[in-house]
Amino acid sequence: MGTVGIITNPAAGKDIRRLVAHASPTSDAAKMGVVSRAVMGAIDGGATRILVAPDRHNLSTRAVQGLDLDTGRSVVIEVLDEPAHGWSGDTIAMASRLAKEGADTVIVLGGDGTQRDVAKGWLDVALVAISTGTNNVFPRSVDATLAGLAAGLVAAGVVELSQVSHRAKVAHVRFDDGSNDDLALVDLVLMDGQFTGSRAVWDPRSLRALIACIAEPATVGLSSIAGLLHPVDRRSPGGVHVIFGGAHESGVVRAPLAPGLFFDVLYSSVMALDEGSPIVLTGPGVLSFDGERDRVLASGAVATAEIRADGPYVIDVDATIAAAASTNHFHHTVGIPARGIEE
Amino acid sequence: MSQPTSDERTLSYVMAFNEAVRQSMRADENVFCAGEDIGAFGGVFGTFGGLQKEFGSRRVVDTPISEQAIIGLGVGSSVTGLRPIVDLMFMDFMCVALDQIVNQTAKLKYMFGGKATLPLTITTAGGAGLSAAAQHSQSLEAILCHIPGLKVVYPSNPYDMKGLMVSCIRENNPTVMVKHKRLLGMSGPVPEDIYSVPLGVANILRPGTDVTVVSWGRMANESLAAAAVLADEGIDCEVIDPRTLQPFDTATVVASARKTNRIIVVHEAVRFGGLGAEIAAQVQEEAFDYLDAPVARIGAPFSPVPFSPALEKYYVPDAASIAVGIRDVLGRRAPGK
Amino acid sequence: MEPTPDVLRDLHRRMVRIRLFEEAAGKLAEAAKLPGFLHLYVGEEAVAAGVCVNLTNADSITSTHRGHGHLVAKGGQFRPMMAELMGKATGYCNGKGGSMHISSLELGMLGANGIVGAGSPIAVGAAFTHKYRDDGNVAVAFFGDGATNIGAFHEAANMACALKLPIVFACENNEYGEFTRRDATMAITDIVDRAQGYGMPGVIVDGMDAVAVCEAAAEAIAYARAGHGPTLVEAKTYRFYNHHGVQNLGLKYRPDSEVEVWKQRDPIFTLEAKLADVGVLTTEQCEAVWVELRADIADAIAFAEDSPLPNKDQILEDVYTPMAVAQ
Repeated sequence: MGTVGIITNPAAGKDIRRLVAHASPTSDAAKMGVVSRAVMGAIDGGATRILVAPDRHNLSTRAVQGLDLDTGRSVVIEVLDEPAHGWSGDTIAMASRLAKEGADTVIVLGGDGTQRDVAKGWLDVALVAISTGTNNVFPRSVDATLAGLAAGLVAAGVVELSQVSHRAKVAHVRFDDGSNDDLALVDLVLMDGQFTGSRAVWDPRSLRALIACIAEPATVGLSSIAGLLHPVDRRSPGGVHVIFGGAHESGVVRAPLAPGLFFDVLYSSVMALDEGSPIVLTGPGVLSFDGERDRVLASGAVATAEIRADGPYVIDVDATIAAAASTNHFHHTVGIPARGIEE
Repeated sequence: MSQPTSDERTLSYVMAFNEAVRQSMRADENVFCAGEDIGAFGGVFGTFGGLQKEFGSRRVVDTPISEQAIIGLGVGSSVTGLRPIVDLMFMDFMCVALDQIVNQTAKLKYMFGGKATLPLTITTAGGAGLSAAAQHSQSLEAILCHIPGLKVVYPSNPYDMKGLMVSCIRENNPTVMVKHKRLLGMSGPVPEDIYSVPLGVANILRPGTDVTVVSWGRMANESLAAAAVLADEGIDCEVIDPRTLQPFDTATVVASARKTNRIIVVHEAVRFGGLGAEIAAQVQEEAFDYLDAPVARIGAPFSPVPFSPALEKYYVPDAASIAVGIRDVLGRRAPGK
Repeated sequence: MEPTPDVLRDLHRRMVRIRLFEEAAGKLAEAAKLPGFLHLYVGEEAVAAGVCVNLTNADSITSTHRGHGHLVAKGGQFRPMMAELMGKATGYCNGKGGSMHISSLELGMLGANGIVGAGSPIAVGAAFTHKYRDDGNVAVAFFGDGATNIGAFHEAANMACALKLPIVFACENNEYGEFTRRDATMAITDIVDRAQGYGMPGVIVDGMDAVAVCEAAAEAIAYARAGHGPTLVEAKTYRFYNHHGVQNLGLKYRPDSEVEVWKQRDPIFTLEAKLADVGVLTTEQCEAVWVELRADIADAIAFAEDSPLPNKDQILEDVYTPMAVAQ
């Protein structure tokens, strides 16, 4: 028995960065292909129950309808009876629902913003993140066939989750006005401005402070500033705190803030940020979570952020498949299928 | 108007078109051409040959095979101040773009209370005779003439072609210039200097006293040939080429009918609902008391244009069938019958 | 980039002008004072205003059957607009166009259009002129989700990309083509998915968020002005009223609950709340804009009602442009 959930964000990969930067579009057709491959992979990995979270575009449901499931195994594919409205709250609600349904692993299609929403709905989910978004620091580039396979192998217990996953870091944000806490998986940025506008961020002059959970040099997006100045990878504790502007600019770093878009970014200070150490961000300004302007901070309003490694269990696809292979899971004698036999 | 004299330079119908476009483009920077295969290739009939070489791809534009967008290109660019010539390779293809022609091109000025001006020329090639079958051979001018807001021009010879095309380009209204495919190689005197033939003015190709023959495009030439045969039988035909079909020079036709008392309209389009019906109605309204016979009409049978040369030959009126029709109007028989 | 406070106030004013004009037109229609069809733009104000606030009169737009909003956003005056809706001689089109063909060439508004999808090829022509003259101006084609199912749109989009024209295809995806849900008539959900097929960038923007539309449109227009070619901007929006007329609830083809959800995201009230938050316009200042413009509407209705009807002789005027010089 193994249950794999799948969440698709139909809005990923279609924002203004296709115009202001050089991001590639991700069409619905492309996403449906990803869903199909991931589900086939999960089934082949041993999943016996696939929980499909509906989305406003019906991508997941349409993708699974066309599958040839003659795998010699009994697999149940269920579409959750959860309404999809077409906003980011959908992803959060779907993740919560999958937690209640007891999904062993969850495959998520989307960019950093989508993965963040999943974490908001189910913080300690066992996650296989597939990139269909734009900047994609959190989800790595991986073919959906293999991502699905890994999700299936872990869900079916072929590979132990603890062997092949790490706990994602999370920048937890709380507000002094009593509104709900929020979180970021990659970066939290305070920037000048008064509106969330078209949501993406691509103007380096507007930056005021950056808190990066993932600060890896070879990434695209705001977190790359931290990654190039003071690398702290996703598995290491703590993060990086960069302050921009002010009277004492100490340096310039050239960083790819969006796909194909490099800027000289002036900064004042770069500091390692210990796990659990709070950083106070004061308005006015706009808070960007994982690359999207999402919340306006009024003048004098305070947000406090700290990084803790208590986020999703991120499944390493390569390690999972390698672990399964090392136990001869995929090997069988000629003429006798390794699996598919009624036991 | 001045008629060409024999010592003038001769040019083909297609090159007369080409020269009108070329000289107009030289004269007015706002004039440009767009259409399928007109640039590097020069147009399927060579109509736009060499123009891109002279004016570049900015002013002689190869478009996608997108008739609606081609006409839309003309509408939008003319209403914003350019003087476009947009080409529909075959007249049949206007049906693909009929919304843009009928609902947009023709009506924009009126719908906008007169505040729009569309100096747009749509050029196309009509008519049968190449075994091009039912979708590349039609004569659909009656449809266009039925739409208020359009002007429709259909020259029968190289001289008129150049002069009418120049007028179309200079015209501050949408015009449709129909070239007949079988006339493209027709040679005739064409002055080198730019000149215009006014729209809405018919041309009496052959003065006569016994019967009026109204005909345009290729059929005007067939009618002239029929008139030559009938002259030997002592029948003196007056052949009128209206040249512009919308607006139609009713006055010239009516004056001729009052003089000859007999009139026949010859067109290549199917007879039913063709322009012949409209002309017949106008003549009987204006000259009923002068007529010695019902207004006669010659047109194609009510069928699509057939492919086989054997069928197409009978489908399209020619000098012989026109002569038969003219004799009928006069109550005469062919010699020896 | 964020719009400046001046642009934000301008944006707000354009949206309120649209709303007031449309609500007034709706009331007149209910009172049987407007002949013909009426397609109201209420709910979609952020799109027309967010785009047009980035344009000048020298830029061209083509519109749809739901075109009042585009003309107002482009600077249309209430008096000749209201007169046109009443079929009066003082209307923008001398009473010959009406609601579905309302236009103002001096404002660069090349017409509302009664044929779905027909505006896009015309916008391509206007964009051609701008490129031909290298005048730095752009064309914007407004159209709905339904228009992307008709050939004219595809031809226009392809030709604009092939010729690399300065044009923005601004799609108002309001989820319904006339009286039929979008998902019954196309297998895709995002119109922007079509952009790839033509070879232009396509972006989705929240069409109920005027700042977001303004920001995205500014980028798309700058992209066109810079000579990079066409873009497709899809604004997710919603019309509060029926396809035509003034009914909004109790319709057979869409649930009232859906209407209510979208109305909670009313683009004007959303913007006003934001503007008040950041001090660009206080609640009182917003109200003052409404009061001032309501007076303009009342003036326009009085003007239109007092205006003469066109006379019979004008039927044959404006079919053709008279040629000044006989050839």
